[in-house]
Amino acid sequence: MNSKISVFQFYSILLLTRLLITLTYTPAYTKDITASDMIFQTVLRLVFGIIITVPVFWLNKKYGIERRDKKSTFNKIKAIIFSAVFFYFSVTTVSRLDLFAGTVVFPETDVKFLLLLVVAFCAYGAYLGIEPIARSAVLFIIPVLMSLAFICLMLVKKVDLLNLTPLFYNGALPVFKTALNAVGRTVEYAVIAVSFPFVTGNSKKGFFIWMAVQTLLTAVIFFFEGTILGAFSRMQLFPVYTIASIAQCLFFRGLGTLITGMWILCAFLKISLLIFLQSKLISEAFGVKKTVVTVTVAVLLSAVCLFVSGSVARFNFLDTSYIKFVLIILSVPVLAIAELIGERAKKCVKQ
Amino acid sequence: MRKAVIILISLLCVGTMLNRNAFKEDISNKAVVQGVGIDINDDGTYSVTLEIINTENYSNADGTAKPVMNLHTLKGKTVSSAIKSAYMIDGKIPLLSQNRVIIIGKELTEKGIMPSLDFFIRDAENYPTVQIAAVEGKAEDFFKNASSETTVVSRNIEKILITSDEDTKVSSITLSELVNRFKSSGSSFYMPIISTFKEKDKQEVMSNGTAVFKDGKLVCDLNEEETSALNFLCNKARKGAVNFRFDDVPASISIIKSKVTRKVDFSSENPNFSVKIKLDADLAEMDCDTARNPSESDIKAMGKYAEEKIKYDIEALCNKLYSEKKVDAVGLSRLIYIYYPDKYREKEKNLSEIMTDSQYSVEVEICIRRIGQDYSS
Repeated sequence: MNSKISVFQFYSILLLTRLLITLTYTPAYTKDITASDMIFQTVLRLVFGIIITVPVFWLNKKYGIERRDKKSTFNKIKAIIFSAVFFYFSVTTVSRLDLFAGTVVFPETDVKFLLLLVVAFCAYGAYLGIEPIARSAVLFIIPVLMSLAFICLMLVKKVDLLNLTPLFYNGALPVFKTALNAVGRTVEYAVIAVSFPFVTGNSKKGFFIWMAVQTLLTAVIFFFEGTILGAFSRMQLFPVYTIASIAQCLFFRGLGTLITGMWILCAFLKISLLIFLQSKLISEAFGVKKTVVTVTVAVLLSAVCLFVSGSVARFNFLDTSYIKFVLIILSVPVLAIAELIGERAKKCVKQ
Repeated sequence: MRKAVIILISLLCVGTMLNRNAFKEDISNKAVVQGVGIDINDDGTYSVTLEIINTENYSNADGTAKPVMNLHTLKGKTVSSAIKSAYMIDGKIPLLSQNRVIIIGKELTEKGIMPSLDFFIRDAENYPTVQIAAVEGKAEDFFKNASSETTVVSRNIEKILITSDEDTKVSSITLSELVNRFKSSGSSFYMPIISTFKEKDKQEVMSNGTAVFKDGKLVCDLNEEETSALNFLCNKARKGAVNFRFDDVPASISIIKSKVTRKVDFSSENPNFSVKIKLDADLAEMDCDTARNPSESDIKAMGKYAEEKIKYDIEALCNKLYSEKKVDAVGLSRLIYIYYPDKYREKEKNLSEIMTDSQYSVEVEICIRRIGQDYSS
């Protein structure tokens, strides 16, 4: 089944999945960085994001999408690397959802059942294919963005600009580190690298619009977080949830529930997309049935997440920024550059 | 996919209901906490008083009404252990998500309050918007004095503090604001002082001043006028009355709109802070014995009196806080941090001395917009 989706649908999925990272970010990854630096680093991560995806778009422009035998050795290695990356990010996404649910939503409850349920339905979503995932993203994007805008509107009165800080107060290094860390947490770059075969339309244009919109959204969220919570945000596990719970509307004492809803929707899409991509890559490269790969991935994912769920130390180890950064750099620019070199060498040999 | 989403949502709901906690922990099995009072004992343990909604029968066997709230005082080595031991009284697990206010006893404010707040910062059930206040004696005694069979003391306190925007004489601070100030404004912060008073044989609560803290410990108390000045300096005096004397009789204006601009100039050796307050106000009350239509010069004069009163109060407060007590409860040092980061870094360690040697200039501009309905001449 070679189903295709439009650029708008594709980047709608990516906008929601990237939004999930912002909504669930934890200040522990952003040590020594102050409120204004947090806002500024969104611009830096935009630049870094564009830089690391240049080889991917260049490769696609120069050699096209259907340039090689899908069952070639290189493609098999590529499929394994990308699948490993997507599996790793699926595990961290499910585990983060588990941490959130276990800490904030149901603090007194064992959420393992919820975790298994989410993985099972994400696997089902992945089994249905990319088109339903894309349609769901387009359906979800309006309520998610409207909820976000509503929360921001309810928070405007609580903004205190004195909570802003001088830029680079602790030096430029923490800001660069945070921006690079954010790039490492953006699995969407790897998704873009393998998405060209099933996305129709001007992907480059869509990419720039997506980058601009997600940077703007992230900057707005960090602005509200920094100016409302100030130093308190550094002490929160999920500061974006905290600002939402501060927002009040009529008789609702806090809008944290809206964030929870957005989070679950975005997580559902992200995990479904990542499982779908793993099954697609592996089945195309090795000729295995998609259903078999999907079920295997879901079972493995559940097992690993259940293991991680038992201890926050395991989660912290798994969620290390350096591992994510290395994986993204390896799968996005390094692999694309290697392929570019390979294609060029092949061309030279032919000539 | 739509089917998958519907099934997922349905199963999530069913799953949550089927959860092992769902059956045994309905609301009547929870101790719904509305207010928490914290005291420290001589042996370093904590006494925590919980104001809990009575979810049991509403009347006794003889038909008399049971009190709306129950008060439990529990002891523990930590605040969390004391709160969690509440289930030993009636088998109910405390639920903090409905907690409105944290009241701190005097002795604890003197010894340092930050360790006792850690649980409320960590606990996901507790809202960061919970109000924090201090009392003169023990928090336990305060709750015992203030509680009656029909009132929820904590809700009354919360209402008073939340509407502090309407009265310049009442200060308020939430948990998140307190922690933010503690972490960023030279470890100084403030909180309202709550007390009880008797009215028609019934105990009522009121806010009567502000407690100022440095490094988590009580430094001094502010009276109502100083609290009003603090609210102006912190840009929290949105509405309320300004009282002054005009023609040697009491007069009052009520604020409609306020704008406070705080600036710092650190080009010389010591910083120079300037505070500019612009108020739009209505004439609320003047010499009612000889009710008259005030002339233009009267209105100007009244504005000037009110301006001088606010200016005097603010200067007195700056003198008290920065020169006498050496505490930056207002957070003006934050301006140095933002606009002169290099100098802040250089002088961070002796910031209180820098603030003591600083100049504070206050400018107040009041525009009286309306004079009320009395046009008799």
